[in-house]
Amino acid sequence: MTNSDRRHGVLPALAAGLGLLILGACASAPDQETEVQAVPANYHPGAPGEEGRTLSAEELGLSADLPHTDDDVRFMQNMIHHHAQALEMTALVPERTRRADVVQLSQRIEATQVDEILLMQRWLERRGEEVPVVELRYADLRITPRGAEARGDHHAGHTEHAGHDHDLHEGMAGMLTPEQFQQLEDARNEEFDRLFLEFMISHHQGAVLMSQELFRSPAG
Amino acid sequence: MTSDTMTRPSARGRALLLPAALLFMAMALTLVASPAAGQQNPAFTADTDPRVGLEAGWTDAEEASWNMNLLVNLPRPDGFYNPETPGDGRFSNTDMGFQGNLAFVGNYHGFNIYDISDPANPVLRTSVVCPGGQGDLSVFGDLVFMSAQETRGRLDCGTQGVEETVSDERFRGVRIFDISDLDSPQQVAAIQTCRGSHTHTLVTDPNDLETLYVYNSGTSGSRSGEELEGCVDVRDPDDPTTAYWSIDVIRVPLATPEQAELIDSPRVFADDATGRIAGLWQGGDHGDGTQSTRDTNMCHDITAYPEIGLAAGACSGNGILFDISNPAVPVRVDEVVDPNFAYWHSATFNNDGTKVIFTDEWGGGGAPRCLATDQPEWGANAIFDIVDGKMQLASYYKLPAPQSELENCVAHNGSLVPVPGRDIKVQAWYQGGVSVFDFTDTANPYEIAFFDRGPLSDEELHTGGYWSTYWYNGHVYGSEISRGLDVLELVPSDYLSENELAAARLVQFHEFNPQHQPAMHWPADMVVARAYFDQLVRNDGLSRDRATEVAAQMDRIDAMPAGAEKRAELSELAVQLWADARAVDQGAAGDAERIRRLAGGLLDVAGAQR
Repeated sequence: MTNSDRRHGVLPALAAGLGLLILGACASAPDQETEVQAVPANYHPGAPGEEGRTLSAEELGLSADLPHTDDDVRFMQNMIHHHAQALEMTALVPERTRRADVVQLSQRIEATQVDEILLMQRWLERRGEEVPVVELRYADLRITPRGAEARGDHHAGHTEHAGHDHDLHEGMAGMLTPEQFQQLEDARNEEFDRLFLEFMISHHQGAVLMSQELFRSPAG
Repeated sequence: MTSDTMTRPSARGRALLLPAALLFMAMALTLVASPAAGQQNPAFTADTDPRVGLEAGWTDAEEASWNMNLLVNLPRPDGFYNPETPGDGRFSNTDMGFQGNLAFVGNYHGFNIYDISDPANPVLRTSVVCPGGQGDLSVFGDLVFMSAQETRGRLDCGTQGVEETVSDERFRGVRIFDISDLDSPQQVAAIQTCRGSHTHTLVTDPNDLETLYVYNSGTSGSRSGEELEGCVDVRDPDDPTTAYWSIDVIRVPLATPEQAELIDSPRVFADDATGRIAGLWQGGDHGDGTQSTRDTNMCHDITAYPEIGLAAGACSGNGILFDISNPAVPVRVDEVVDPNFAYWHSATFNNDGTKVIFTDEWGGGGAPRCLATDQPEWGANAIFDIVDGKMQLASYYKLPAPQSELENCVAHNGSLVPVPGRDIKVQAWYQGGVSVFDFTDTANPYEIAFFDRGPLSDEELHTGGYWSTYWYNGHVYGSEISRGLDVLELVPSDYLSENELAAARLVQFHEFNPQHQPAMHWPADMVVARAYFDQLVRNDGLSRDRATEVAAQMDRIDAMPAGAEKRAELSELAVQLWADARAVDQGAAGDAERIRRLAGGLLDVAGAQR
């Protein structure tokens, strides 16, 4: 540590020891004058105790190109479907509950799930990976990396990622089975509230499990 | 402080509708009144604020500013950004530290050192490649400390990541570099921790100048004991070996930093009575209509203020005060919860150590949480008075201008602006820009300056904006996540006088790490007295006639040559002002405390006459 007390003698050693120095009114420049170079240094340190090395400007630029893993991609793709089901569940809420707090909770879930689906779709798109497009029957939404929009064909036709069609993703933790989704759809009032909360909790727990698996995977 | 605020915002308070349950809880907690966030900019409403509706752009976004100017922007250097998108999180700029004429700017990919000898023309000095995120930095003497948390982090700073689940090449923890040669910073130590390092805090020991302590906050999942001995990745507070519910204390012998080591992971959240390690907030909401707050199994950021022996821990579900008079053993002395907070993120004391601001990073920083429809108490600052060692909530402050859905925005990192006699903070709000606000009156914080850009993109939300904005030796430095390094200046206004700014510039640090908060001292200088005087005029703390007399006296004395005569005159004026203050004590109108500050400032200058 540099010690500027000698020069300024303004503050006692305590302040200098604390790593700070008040230079006071005297406007002299701090004493660590460095020579400004025309070309900045680029350095890649090594492990502790090992020499690093200087990088050329070209090498420095290349370091921006970092890989992602297949596990990362699979996680993103799966999680998009997982989030999509949560949106189908929340779409059931307004017509089936009397409780304002359940409505509020479902709105919170909705807001975050749409944001996150977009985030994941764009992550995949930027890396040239397959991007699942989300078509939601109950929520009446189509979500692509461009944004979310109403499908406009409410309650019509086959939708790949709606609550009922689970053949593709039934293996994912916390996903409702078609029977469970039907149960939720048929329920009303207190029965619905209870089921909604139970299913939503296990749904979220499943998402946490998926995340933990990713963290445990190599380089995830 | 007994006085009113300097300039109070117009009193159009926004009524806060409290759900019945919260009211009931408030009564149960015997709160006198639940503070609300009123209108917090004295000049603009949401309808007139120039920050609303700015045009988007990565490098050419529209800008709005008020009482401050952007002097220069330096985009991130080659290798530290992805040319295809501003939103590539592997290259986000993060936190900053300062030393002499150097600024150290962290990045998920490493760090960059800038020469700021001429703040309006900073020059890139060195780029250091060492990925691992989030790259929070501190600088102390010849050492730079850096946080690494990601599983791709490598002991050798390699960019290739680590493939194996368990590997001795992986590094998650606190790195220490020797920067004595700025061309080639060498890694001298790397202290592995179970949960990595999200942020860290330098803590000095006034009684032991040979040793530095580092408090480490890991917020990610723990790794396994196979990779790092002693790590138990079990989120069970009844398992006494769990890697959660603790902070890490690292000891650094300054003469031999390569021997730095983790000395303890104290259970600072334990219940005092039962010893249960998960003794604080358990997670969840606080009743109907309240925010859901994360559980307290970590600190996110700790701000140490060694000169007052305290640290403020923003610890997920709680705001905590620690006694750090023995830095090796932080002791929890007070904690608070807040029904509006989602995640206690960071903290800043005022200079006197009588107030503390905690920030709430609702949404984690990547979400747009400054929408017109968002509650102004959510994702905000909570401002506390510290009374007899206990924190008392006074108010909330949130960026007063609504932001769009394309802008991640929430309270983030900032530092004090050293204006004598006032408590002022300059703070980053991600894509909400930078906001400078006065919290001298903790119940009525108000904005005095801002700078903001439009969103990074008009199509999608990229995580960007200011990670941190700090005042350092006369300028405001902004670490912009995807736009690089900004240098800004405050300019005089109705809310901040030229004298107050000049007095602030007199406080010069040799080193500055905002989470290692230094005490600010003002030298004996007439401009400091004049700053107090301006404040008295602004808040009618001195009668108009008397102010005119005092101003004339100060001008006259200021023009005198240094010496005994000037000393006598200054002392005489100070004595007169003490009498003015006494008159206020006895019932006259005015701001007695600030009059005494003015008198004290004049006496300081008198004492400096030889």
